Amino acid sequence: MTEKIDVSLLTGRSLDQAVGLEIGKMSKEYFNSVSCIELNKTDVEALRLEKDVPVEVSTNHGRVVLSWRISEGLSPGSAFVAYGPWANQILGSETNCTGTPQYKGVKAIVKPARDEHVLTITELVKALKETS
Amino acid sequence: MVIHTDVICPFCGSLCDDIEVNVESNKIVGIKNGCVISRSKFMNYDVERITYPTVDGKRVRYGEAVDAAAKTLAEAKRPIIYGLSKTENDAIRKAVYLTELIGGAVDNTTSVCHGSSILAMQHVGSATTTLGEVKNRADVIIFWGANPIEAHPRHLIRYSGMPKGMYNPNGRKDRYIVVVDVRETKSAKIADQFIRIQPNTDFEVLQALRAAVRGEAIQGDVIGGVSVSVIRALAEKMKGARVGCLFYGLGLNQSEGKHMNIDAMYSLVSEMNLHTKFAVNPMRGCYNVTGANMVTAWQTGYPFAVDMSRGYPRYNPGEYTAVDMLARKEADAALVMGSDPAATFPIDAVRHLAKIPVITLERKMTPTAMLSKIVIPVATSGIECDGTAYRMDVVPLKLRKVVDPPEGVYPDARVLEDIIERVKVLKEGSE
Repeated sequence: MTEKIDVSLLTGRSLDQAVGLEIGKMSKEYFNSVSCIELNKTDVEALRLEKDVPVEVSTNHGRVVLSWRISEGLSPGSAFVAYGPWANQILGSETNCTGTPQYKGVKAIVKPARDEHVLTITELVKALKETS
Repeated sequence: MVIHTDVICPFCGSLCDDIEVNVESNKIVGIKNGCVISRSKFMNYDVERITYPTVDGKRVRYGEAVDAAAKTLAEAKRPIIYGLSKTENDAIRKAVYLTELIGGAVDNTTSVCHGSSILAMQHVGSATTTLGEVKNRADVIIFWGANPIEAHPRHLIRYSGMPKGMYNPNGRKDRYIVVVDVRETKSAKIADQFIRIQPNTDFEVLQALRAAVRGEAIQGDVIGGVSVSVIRALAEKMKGARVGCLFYGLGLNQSEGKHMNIDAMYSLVSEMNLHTKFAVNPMRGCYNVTGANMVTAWQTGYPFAVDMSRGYPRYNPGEYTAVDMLARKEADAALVMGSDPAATFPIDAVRHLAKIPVITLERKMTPTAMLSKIVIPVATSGIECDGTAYRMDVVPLKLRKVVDPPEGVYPDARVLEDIIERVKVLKEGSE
């Protein structure tokens, strides 16, 4: 068993995210689509993740708690989160003079987050206001 | 029941123009031909709507919200207007004019999606084409860092994969489709060939492909996780195309290398035209982000990242782009429309957005609206008001109005016009 794994974090569009945001960003569908990290099965087994235990994903820019699921399309060491306010908690704003932050290929660490829960959008915005 | 045919879907840059919308008593009751996202947009257009304006969370009359918005913008020293990609061209034109009036900066969502594409186009030039030409002529299609099945679900069906065209009478059978990506996406699964590359190696793989097209030596056996023999075979496949098209997505813009990845891709396609006809097109996400570039360029000469604080337009991505202006804590007020930066920007930039007065023109509650001082509800362009939008291949199409907006809710262009009139009065009064 491994306590944590290093991953290359990819964020991007997904069909469920697009469907969810058109219902509304307060909707359950949107929440489910953007607050979940996709991991390779090998990495899930190495971390011995339990079904209802979320994961903490951290980078140099912050940490966020997400639910998880297995994706067959990812290589071991790669992880995917759909674009949204959850992924943005751990992305940096450096744009290298292009205007575009790095949303893909970001070094991140994933580990189980027992006794924690995935924040709702209201909780995320509240936390944001408190730390701004 | 009224059946509206050939309605444009205002979701992604494909702007599918064959949607059938059924309306009964000013309510959409069904659609045909749309993808699952299109269906969600049309069938949920009236769900979770903001129906009245607010200032500091309190319900106000429309005129009070417009006054408060105008006062906020007129008094700001470094305001920014941001978004513009999920609205129609006339509203974008007015947003640019408002920026000029208040001496602010104007930026659109390009800066966090295909901004690097524009930098590369400006460096290299662009061998481009329309989706109609792709449908009729292209027999080699490459998707690089793009996942059309999830982001542009009918692109393959209408233009690039399945349709029968003038020189592709057998549809899918006449096209060879390659997907290059770091993930085996749903699009990769339907391709004739999937090439998996390692994250952040697009530049290296593209440069190796350029060398292969030129017949030059490539050092090493594996580049970015791809065998050189696979790269050479792809080069030959591309050179053997009757007409080829390379569609690319944000896998290139948002990884390490950014504009240099796309610089390499545009250079590759330029060189491909020594051998055959080849084009390159970005897969634009928001339905009118191309319009945001076009209209901002008509008005200022530049497609995004424009500063008007000196009374004339200046262009500098990295300086006048929204993420940078917020992360540097430079902007002291913002007007957001046709976007949700609190859901799409990195946390540092959003923290500053939460500190400054923000005016949001929005249809539904979003994280940006939740952080905003002033929220003004607007009509859904392409459903509740008409206008023009640019498809991803820069073809302008007419959006349709199929239902009326809720009472007291106006199109973006009307709200901006009202703010502009109030700003003019405030500016004249202070002179």
